[in-house]
Amino acid sequence: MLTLTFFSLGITITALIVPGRWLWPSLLVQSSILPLITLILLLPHHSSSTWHTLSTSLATDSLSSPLIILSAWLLPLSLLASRQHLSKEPLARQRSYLTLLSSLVLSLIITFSALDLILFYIAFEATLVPTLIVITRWGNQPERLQAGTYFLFYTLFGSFPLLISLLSLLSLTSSASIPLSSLNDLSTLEFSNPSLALWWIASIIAFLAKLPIYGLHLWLPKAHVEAPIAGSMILAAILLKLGGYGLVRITALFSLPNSFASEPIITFCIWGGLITSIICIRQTDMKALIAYSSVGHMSLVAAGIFSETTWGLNGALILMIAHGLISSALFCLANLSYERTFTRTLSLNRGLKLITPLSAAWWLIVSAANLALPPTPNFSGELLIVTNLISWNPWTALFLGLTALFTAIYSLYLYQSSQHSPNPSSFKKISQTLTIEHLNIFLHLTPLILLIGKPELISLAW
Amino acid sequence: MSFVLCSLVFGGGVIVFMSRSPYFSALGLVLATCGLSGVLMLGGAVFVGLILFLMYLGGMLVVFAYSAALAADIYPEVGAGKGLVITLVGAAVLAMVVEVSWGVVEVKGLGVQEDLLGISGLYLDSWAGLLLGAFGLFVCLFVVLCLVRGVGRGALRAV
Amino acid sequence: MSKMNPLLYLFMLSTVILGTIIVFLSSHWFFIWLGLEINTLAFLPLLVASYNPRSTEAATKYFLIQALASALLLLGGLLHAATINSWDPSSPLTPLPLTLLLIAIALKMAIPPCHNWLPDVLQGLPLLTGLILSTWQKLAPFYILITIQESIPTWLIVTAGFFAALVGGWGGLNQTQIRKLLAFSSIAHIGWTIAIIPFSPQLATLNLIIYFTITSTLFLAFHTLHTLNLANLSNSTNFAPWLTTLTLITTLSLAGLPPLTGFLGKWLIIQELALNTNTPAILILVLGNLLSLFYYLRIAYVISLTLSPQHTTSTLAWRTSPSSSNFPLALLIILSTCTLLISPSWLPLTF
Repeated sequence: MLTLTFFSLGITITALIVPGRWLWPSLLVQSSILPLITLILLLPHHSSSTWHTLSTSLATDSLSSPLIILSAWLLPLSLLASRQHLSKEPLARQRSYLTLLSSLVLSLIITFSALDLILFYIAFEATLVPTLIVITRWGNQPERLQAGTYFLFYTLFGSFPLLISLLSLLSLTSSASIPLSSLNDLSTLEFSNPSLALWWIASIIAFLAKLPIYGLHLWLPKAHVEAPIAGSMILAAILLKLGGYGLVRITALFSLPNSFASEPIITFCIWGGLITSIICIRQTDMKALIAYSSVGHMSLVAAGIFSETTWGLNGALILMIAHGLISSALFCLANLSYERTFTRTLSLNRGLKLITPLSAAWWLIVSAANLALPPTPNFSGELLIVTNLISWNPWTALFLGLTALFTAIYSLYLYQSSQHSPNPSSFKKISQTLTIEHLNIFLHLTPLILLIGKPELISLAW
Repeated sequence: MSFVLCSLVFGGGVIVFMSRSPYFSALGLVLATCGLSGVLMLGGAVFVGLILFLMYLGGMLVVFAYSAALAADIYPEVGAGKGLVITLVGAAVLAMVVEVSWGVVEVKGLGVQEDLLGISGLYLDSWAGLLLGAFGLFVCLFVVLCLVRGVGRGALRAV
Repeated sequence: MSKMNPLLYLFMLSTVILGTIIVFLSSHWFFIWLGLEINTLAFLPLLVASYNPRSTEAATKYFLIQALASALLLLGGLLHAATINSWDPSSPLTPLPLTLLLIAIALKMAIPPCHNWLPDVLQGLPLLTGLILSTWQKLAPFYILITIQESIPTWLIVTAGFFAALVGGWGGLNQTQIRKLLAFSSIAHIGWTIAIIPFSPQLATLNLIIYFTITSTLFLAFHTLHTLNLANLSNSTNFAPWLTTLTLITTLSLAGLPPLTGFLGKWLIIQELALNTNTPAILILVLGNLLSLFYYLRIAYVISLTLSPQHTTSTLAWRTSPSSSNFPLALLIILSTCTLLISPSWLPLTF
């Protein structure tokens, strides 16, 4: 684990000190080596022990290693994507941008591999500062400050209760270690069920806001709309998954009776998924649409996690990984057209098929994957979650079916409105798509397609 | 008697902060000091009262000289007529309240011995503390000099 | 900065330090009072070292407040001596002297409801003098508070603590002046510090030290950037880009965002309060912290996040070029941002 941590720390340092001429080449090389090293984490994936690649305070298991690989994978892709819009900036600013991105990935790797809950919390929060600066410094419009404030305050309002509850846990059980936490059964402590539930809610509220589920999601569309492309990509692909990861870890700590606290939340998540997919249909802003679609998918993830069954958890993990790749690819595509039409408005981004034909193919594949078309991993993830939820309560079939329907509608709507119909007359001098952009989308889709063949890489080995 | 002394203390204070001219402020300080020393003597601490009276009078002299030197009033006036009278009446009422309610100001008939003992103890045992106190006074004097030595050199002067 | 004679300045500065040290070394209420008086009096010429009407006002206010506080402290000590015949500050206090002493300390340290003088006084001072006011001048009353903490009811001091955290957060929301913001941040941090005193005085000391480090960094950075208000701050990036960026990080550290040093104090305080199952106190403290986070965030926005692509709307200020190296500031910046990783090395500082 230390290899990975120090390697990503090395990328951060490189971004600060390497001579300007070599800044981009060396960072691209280093950040491309990083995901290759992380692939080693998959080797002991199905060995007998749960935790592997142990060091003193960092280790991985079958839940965290796919997420670590995803974070490392997204770093070179986000660098590739932001090469274009950074090229006009002064060198010092490029440096600080790259430093922020690589330190973000560093703290993500530590978050996913932390063995100690306090270290987990600190690394979880450490992702805030770089993201905040990336959003508010490199965003394009004045509203980015509001977006930054929303982002910070939603997260912190949630995470201070989390800190309090983690420290209470530490002071009650004298250990905040994640592997040992299965040994302290919290229900043996003298707590009444309501206070235990209150404690549980204090612990999960941070992740619910980070995920975000419907109701705590207001910061996400703002942050996505305002953030630069790399910010959006990492935010959608990994930062949201922090919430899912934290939920899995925390719900494993509290063994509450299922009906007690999970039921209302599962119901609310399913309801939120439906609402957000309806909201998606009436979006006019491309990035806001993708952001709301993330909220919808994440609601499903949350529902899967709260069901606390093997199917639910596995489905949540698979959906998280698949959605991470797909939403990031969608943001890339949105940025691709934004860099040519200089607008994110859907009605002004028409008929791109005629101008950039190859990207139309990417749009098709990505939208199809977003609506969970078989055999993409999105499909297998949603299938596992939906099956599980229907067996939990058959009535959910109605809402889940409607959600799936609306998801299909807005995904196809996104594809169709951006690719078909005649070009608006405002399109003049649209430049060609670059190989680097195709490479970027290709690198998003490759792991997804490969995972179709070997989905056990992103399943839990508990 | 004690009522007179108490109203002297409070009235002196009122004059200090109500008067527009430093002359009368200094006068108010003198009045307050006389009253305070008188209260102490009534309370039995005759020696301390006497010492305080002497020291304060010396201090007052310096203050008076200072204020006379700094102030440029040709027609000094005491202060805002009606407000002053009202505040003075308030001071008298306060003095009455103090006398009636607290009962601090009463002749206890204690000898001179106690405060004399205290003073000699101060010189005998805690000479270091005395030195420290002297240093504090020195700093105080120094600070006052710093604060009032002229506009261009950073003086705290509102005149 | 100072138009005073440097020798005189040095003498006054060392007397300020001496006064605080006298307080530390005293075991007698009278000498504690004396030390505080020496400290306060010697600080007054420093306040008016650069002459302007604001600093005169600041010095007058400071003098009046501190004189009142000292008088109350002396009265409290005397009453204490009169009731239980002991001048020892660590002997248990009866309610009346305790109340007087607490009011005196609250005035000295600007703990609400006795806090209103601090923003006004700080606003009238140059940043370096303000630095002394918001760091060194807090030490002596803090020491007294630690000394008498056995006699103070826990609820009282915790209530004062979270009241301070809330007031510090609330008051800064409407400010555009750097020094007033720093004053309110000082009030909020003192709130966190005193809220933990009944449970762990060592932790309070640690938190105070961390706060001193970070706030000194900010004062020095703003001094180097010649910045007194937010509008002026918005174009300091052109003047010293890296220092401005690091000031941004330091501001977030003062706000207590996790990977930075400022989180250490909050973390340990929350942990200690959680150990004592004092959850309501934690919640209120955290709420106050979120309030102050809002204005830290605004400082952060103004510092370097709003520059491009918008043009700056404020007029550019004339600034003399910074000296090429500023070692103390660099050291302080490192201390106040990156030392959460080596947090155990802070602990020996807490005696």
